[in-house]
Amino acid sequence: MIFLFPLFHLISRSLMTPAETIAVPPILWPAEPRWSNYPEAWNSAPFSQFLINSIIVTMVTVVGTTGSAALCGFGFARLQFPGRDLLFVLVLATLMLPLTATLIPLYIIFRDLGWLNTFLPLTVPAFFGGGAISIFLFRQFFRTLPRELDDAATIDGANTWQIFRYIALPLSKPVLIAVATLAFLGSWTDLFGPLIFLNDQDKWTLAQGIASVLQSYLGRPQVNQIAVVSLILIIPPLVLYAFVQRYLVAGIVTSGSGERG
Amino acid sequence: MNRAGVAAVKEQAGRKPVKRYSRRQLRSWLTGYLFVMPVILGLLVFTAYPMLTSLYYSFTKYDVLSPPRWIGLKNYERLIEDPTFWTSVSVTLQYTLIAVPLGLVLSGLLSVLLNRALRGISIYRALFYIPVIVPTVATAVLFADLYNVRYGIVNAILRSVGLPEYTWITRPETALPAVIVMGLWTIGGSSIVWLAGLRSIPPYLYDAAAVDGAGPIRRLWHITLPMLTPVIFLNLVLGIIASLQVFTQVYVLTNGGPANSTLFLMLNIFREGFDHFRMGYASAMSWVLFLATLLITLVVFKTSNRWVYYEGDRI
Repeated sequence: MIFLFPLFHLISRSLMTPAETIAVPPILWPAEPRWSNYPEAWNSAPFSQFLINSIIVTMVTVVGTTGSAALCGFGFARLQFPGRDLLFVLVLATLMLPLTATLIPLYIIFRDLGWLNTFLPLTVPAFFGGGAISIFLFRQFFRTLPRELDDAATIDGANTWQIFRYIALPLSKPVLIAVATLAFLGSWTDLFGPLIFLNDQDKWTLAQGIASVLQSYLGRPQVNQIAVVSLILIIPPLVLYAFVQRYLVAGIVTSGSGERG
Repeated sequence: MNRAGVAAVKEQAGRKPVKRYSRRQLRSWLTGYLFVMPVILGLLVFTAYPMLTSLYYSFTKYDVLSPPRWIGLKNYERLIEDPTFWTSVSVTLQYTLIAVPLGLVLSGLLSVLLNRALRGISIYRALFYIPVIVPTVATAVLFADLYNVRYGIVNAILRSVGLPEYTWITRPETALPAVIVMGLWTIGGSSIVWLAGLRSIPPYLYDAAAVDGAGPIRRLWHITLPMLTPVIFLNLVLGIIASLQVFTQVYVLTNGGPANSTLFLMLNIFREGFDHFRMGYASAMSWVLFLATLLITLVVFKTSNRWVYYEGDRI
């Protein structure tokens, strides 16, 4: 339970008075929960705007990632074309690439396109494959579907797109959920991308807003207020996790062991 | 087709067997390429082109406002003499050398605990995964509070059991260990991969070993560990790559301080590029980081055939 104690502590901090946050020895739970921390903290900076920004960026990223990764994963798993396996190895190799190796030119490209201070640098790349892991998960799954399904559909006159759209994709719900969740987490928690591409405060994401508020304090920040906004940052992933937990952990477990076969 | 045409085709076909593909075959290839087109374009536009450009920038002086100016190897020469660069290299390597093995061992032990057939074990598995989904910014906020020397709960616990207070992120000597401990909070992520490996070991291997009289330790040593080497390998490679790219944790928790004791390479690159707008210099650093990552990963891959056991290899 040591693992969950920090989270419990964050909740209790978010309900303390400023005096209680600097009590020595520290107290575990405030004498009386101070709910007014929540509106106070939320209004201390344009967090509503940050939240809306985060939601937009994350939703678009999730759609782009799942859509394009499903297409590519299907292509790598079920279709034959020269250079396929080499291309797939290249895709996996990008996992090893540090972000920074491409970062500065991307910054220049997006600047020249006039995309700085917009959400485009954070969202558009997701539509181009959605990352090696997403493609990998879809490929592993589509490989397990029996070929007979394709053959039957072909006899019925379906083309490849229809097989993908009406047969393979509906069957891939577990992977779809796993990939969408990973894309959600990646985008929601990202700090590096927003720090580089978004300068104006009205474009900041929630994670970025919290990090920046924290850095603007000299000395000790108001722990109770920071705890409030951090909790609000945590809640959407937690709620999502509660719903998809079965798929996520099971998805990782099966894709891991499926590799051996 | 006229007679001469047919003859020409026949002649050509007879002379050398050119492999001809049917229209149907070409069409099906085209479909394949269309399906993976997003990632082909993505690799070209968002990976290959930027990489080559950043290699070019690394040989230039570039402040973003004026065009890049070729200065040859100057950036790399400056790197060698830049003590801050070496500090960031040393911080990153120390972190990798300590945090990766430590995380590997602890997440492995955790996965053994989570693999037992207890009632409600799946709830425990889910709980241990929660820190992984907590946004890193929030994790860092949380630990900054826990680590607070005066008001933090960790020192309060140390005091209450009679141990001396620890300075955590306020002193250069203890800041990096504090970052490492924070990283261990999320070992649940690799535990799940371990767990996947543990559960794929066929039980008959243990039964056979038990019949042969192997005790628990020999079963661990001769069955569990060899069967898990692919998982260890995967976690090792992913762990190394992630630890070479640590950024968010330290940006929020310590912002590289105190006295640059947690200035990871990524943070250093970020500062040079986006605080001081020395894009050429930052690109040179990025390439050093990239090549180092590649080299370390290749070494791990090279040694892997000595210790990683794939079941399929037996056949």
